[in-house]
Amino acid sequence: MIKLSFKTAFRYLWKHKLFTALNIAGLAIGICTCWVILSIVRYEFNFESAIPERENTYRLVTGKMFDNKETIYGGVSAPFYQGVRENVTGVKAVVPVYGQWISSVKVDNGKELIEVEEPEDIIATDSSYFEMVPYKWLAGNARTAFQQPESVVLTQSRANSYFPGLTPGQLIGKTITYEEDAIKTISGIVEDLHFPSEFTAQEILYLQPIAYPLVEWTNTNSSDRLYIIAENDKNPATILKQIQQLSDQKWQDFKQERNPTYEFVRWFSMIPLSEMHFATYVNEWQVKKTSKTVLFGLIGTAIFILFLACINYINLSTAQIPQRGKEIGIRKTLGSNNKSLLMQIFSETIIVVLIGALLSFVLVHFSFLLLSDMIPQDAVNFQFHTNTLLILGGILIATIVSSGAYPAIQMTRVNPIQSIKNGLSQKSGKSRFNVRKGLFIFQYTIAQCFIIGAIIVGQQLKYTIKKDLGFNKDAVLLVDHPFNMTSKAGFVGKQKVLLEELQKLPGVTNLSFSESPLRMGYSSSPYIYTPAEGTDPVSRQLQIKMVDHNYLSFYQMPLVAGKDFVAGDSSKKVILNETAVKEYGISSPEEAVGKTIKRSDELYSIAGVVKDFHQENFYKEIKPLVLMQGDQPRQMFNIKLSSNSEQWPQTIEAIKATWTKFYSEKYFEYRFYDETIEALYKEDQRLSTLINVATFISIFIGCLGLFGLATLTAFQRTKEIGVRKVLGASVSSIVGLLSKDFVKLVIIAIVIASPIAWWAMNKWLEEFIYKVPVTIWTFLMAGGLAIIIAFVTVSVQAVKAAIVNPVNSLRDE
Amino acid sequence: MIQLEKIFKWVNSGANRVFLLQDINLEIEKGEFVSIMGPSGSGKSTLLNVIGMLDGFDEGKYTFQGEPVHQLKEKQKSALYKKHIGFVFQAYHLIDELTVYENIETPLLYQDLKSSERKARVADILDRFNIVGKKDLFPAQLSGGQQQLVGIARALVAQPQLILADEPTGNLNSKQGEEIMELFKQLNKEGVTIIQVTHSEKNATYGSKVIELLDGRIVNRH
Repeated sequence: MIKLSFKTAFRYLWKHKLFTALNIAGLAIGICTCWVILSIVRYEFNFESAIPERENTYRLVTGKMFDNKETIYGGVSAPFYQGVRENVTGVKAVVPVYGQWISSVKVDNGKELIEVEEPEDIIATDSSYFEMVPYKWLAGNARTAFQQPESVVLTQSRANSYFPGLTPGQLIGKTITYEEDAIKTISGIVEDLHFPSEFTAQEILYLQPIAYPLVEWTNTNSSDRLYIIAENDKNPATILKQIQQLSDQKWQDFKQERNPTYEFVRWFSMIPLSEMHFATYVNEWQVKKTSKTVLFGLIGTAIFILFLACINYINLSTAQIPQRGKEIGIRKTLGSNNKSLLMQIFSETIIVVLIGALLSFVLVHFSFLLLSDMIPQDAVNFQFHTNTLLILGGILIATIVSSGAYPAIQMTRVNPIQSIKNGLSQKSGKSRFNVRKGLFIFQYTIAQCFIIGAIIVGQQLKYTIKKDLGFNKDAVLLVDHPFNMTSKAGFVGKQKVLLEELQKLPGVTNLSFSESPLRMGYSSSPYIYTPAEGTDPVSRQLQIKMVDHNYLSFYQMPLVAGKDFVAGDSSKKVILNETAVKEYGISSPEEAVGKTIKRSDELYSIAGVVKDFHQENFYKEIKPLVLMQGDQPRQMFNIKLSSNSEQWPQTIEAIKATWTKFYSEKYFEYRFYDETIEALYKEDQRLSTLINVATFISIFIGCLGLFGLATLTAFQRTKEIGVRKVLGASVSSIVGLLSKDFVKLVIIAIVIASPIAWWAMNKWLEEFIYKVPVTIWTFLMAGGLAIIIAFVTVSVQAVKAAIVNPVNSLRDE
Repeated sequence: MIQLEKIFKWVNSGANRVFLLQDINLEIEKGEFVSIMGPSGSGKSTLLNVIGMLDGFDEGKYTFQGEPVHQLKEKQKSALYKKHIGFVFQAYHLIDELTVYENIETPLLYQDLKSSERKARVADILDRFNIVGKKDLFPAQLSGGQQQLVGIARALVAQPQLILADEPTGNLNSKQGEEIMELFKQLNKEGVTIIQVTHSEKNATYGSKVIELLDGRIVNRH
């Protein structure tokens, strides 16, 4: 029986190749989307999964006030690991994982001398680390690793890059030289972690227990991470309370000793290790984090897209029922019961879904390749993870049930006598609301939301690049000054000569050695302005940019009052922006010129006021700013190239050649300013790509369904079309007739989707201070687009139906 | 009104050429009532479709009211039959989703008549066929005879000079059939040319001329 129904199902699907193909294509894309997203989600939620005491492990993070905002930093003051160990109860283990910045590593592996500049993933810790992180030891062991203080443990992959070809056993006792003179001996080799983790260390050094000076208790370095494993029954709050006491005590001690002029507010928080990967609000570098909102957004997208594919299946199968009416009627008169009919439908559904799943397997592979810059690379490993496959299996079953159920019920309702006599009435579905229309509207509502979202995100991204930033960034090349050269002798002189040499190059039209106007990160300090003798001084936090005399003309920033800097002027003159003038309550820019502002005991006179320009991305508003003339390490070469972009490669080569006369080539890194600004919106770019992909998929699936429905409708209305043609209807009037119904549904979908998308996009845009206005035109444009797509899809079939000779369609029996 | 000269129509099936119409020569004057008879598959409907310009032919000349149909383009043909010819089908071919009124109005919509003009003509014809009371019903709510009545009303509403009827009584009982034939006779008296395809000798007697077809040839005319 089952065999028979599968056989019939196969024949039926084969006979209706077009609809089978449409269904399979839609489902394959839907399943593929689910699969890819499932792999990503499994990967993200698998962080730290194999840490033995994950439930009781916490990261201690530091809270501080910064710019009047509560800000959480991922690190702690280095001495805290000792303080917590000695003074805090209820703690099972305290594990310091202190990131080490090392400028160079030298390895002599017998064959060659390997030298690595600024190697990454080096930490200092002690043996408690090996109890927290479950390493598999290939050589050495956790107990003996740090018996000698000058020891280092390597992961297998790092060991392979330093000592290719040696077995772990042979590596024990080899040495590595850090920072020219610190020689460490390899005491162990561990396997790389097989689960995603924030413990990315590749070289593990021993953290010497030293007695820290009191000032260290108040400094926080984000790379000094501290993990606390609580005793089973201990509440983190009681541990935190003790840590806060410890911190306050140390501050009191420090105050007595140093008598500082500033106040100090610091608090702590213990974030469960399992949550750490999602704690995007914690400020730290080089730690991969993912927002849970994004993950849930992805899950939602996957469900929606698969659901769209199911709707296609439901719509196409139910729409075919009238044609199958006779077959079903005959089956029923021959005594088939509902059960065997259900089995028939579900055999078809199972076949279609399984073929879709097989096809999606191929698609998944391509998706990972095509979207490699959006998908975390390690997520690929979770594609065939047992859990992934189990959930995917569940998804497939759910897909089969939800796709097959409604068509099956509809089919069992067929009245056999009526259907045999004159086929099923073609009238079903016309002019009254039915499930199929509802599903169709739902499908297009989702697609429409995505279209609007894609347009608005695209507009905002374009705006971030195209909007007048208050300075001219065209054809500007930025070259960082080598940071570690600034401390070396003769740097100012060297830099000036280089500047002069670069100036002479053909193709370089202008030059400035300054901090670029808009960039990540800034320094700021409070500056005090006293309006008049005897009035209260006004203190404002000003952003500081160190620039040279050429800065304003280089970036074409207009002065609204006063004068520009003069070359070689060493008097303490500054230029403020308009916002700073306003913040100080000075009535006009002209008024501000000649006034003085004070920082510590230094007085600065205001030489001019520059028109406001954007110093940060559009998430931040323009802040009060002071431009100072001088030499500072944060500066870089701002190079304006000639307007002829074909010359640029030559000019860049010439700049590089000049550069290498002064500094090593490896420090020569250039970026075009446009690109660095685009890079500020990397997350938004990702969102944009994601939403574009989702839009494309949802439109594509929607079109598959629409195409199928249009085909069926055209088929079912063949007779009517024939009659109308005989009565004199033109091809265009018939295309209009067939398209009208679908376009109506699409318009309903647009009406439903627009407010939803409007709300969601406003929510997203809220984060931006500077943003595109959301206008009615966006919605009209998106709506027009949807209607055009729907119309084109339907027309293909409608035209085909309309040009058929009516003689053929009206032939009776 | 209609002149067919040496009309041939065939289909190629494999190497064989199957003739649907062979050497048809036919002249029909204005005001005639012609019945085309013959067994199934003899080419009656094909001939009717050729006359109605719904179907083409492969050889020969066809002149309709002085216009050489064989030289006309698709668009011109369509304009020609839209204006002059009304069709009545065996299976009525009413549009299920439209009411009686809307069904009758449809051909007028395709002729770009003004709304007031359309209303007047449809009202006229409803009145004449005594179906005013049924104008808001759907085809499924009518008997076969009533449906065919609507079909004829629809064919007539555009005031054609020629009615082509393909077995108009084929799906009706004898009483309904008689009524329809009487109606045709009446219309013919009023000056409408009618060509019908029929199996029934009795129906043929309503007409002024009978053409018998066999295997695509005219074998008898009387």
